[in-house]
Amino acid sequence: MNALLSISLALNLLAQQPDSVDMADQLRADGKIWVVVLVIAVVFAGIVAYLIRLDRQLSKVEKEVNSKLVDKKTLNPAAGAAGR
Amino acid sequence: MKNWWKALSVLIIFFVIVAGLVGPTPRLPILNESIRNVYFHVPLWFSMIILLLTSAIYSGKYLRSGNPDHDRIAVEFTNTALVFGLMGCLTGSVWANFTWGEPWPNDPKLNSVAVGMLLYFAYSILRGSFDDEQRRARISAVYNIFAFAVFVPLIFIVPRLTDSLHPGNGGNPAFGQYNMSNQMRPIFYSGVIGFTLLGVWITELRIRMRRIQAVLED
Repeated sequence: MNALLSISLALNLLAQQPDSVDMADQLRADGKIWVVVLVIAVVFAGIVAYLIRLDRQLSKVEKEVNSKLVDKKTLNPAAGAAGR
Repeated sequence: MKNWWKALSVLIIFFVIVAGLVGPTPRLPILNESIRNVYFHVPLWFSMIILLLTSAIYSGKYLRSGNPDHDRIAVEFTNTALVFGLMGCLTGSVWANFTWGEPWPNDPKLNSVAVGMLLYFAYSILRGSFDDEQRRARISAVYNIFAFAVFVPLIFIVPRLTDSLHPGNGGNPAFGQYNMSNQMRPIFYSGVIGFTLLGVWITELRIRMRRIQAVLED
């Protein structure tokens, strides 16, 4: 009895026409799917903007630190080599 | 332009967002539209593993060279990987809630993944317990390599030996007709590359910050 039920369920699933599976077809037909895309894209764009800002801030500090290191080395060659 | 790969990661992910939501997918019962999560949930995990592998390699490099920069790189790759793993767990949990009926069913793959994540959290705690930089770097480098060596079989092999709901394990073929199609593959693999590059960018920022801190501390 169980075997019969399992087989009929499997056959039913295999035999399902694509139209009978619920998908968001209406959302696509309305074009509203693009609203979803836009929202997610905007969120991601915000995160990327933040990353770029961080990247630039780091570059600035790196330049400062490097120029300070160079100054130390030119003013005091002996100490500069040890980084003190 | 030396940051071309950062721009590439952003472009790829934008592409995945658009194509992932608008592109055609198989029409399957139970999954319905949530099959599109394959484009976001799975790449997070693939990225995590690539980041962890990179971290383990740099741990190995550190043990050979003693160069503190290698240790720095190893840690930050692990940190980013943990964030991605956490996101992977959260996104998987949301998905599971609607397709498996609960956010965390008692499933071998999920439990193995949780154990694996704990292994790496323990790595962070291990590092925090040392004051001496060299000892910290050396011991955590050894731990990192062992952790990766355990992590891979734990999440790939163990779940396949037992019953699991998760695709790719317990008799459910992965990337078969039930969760992937030829229409989906280009978007999916692009997603893996995009998210991995994003992970590398985030890691690079953290490494640069640590390098500056190290110089300022001298």
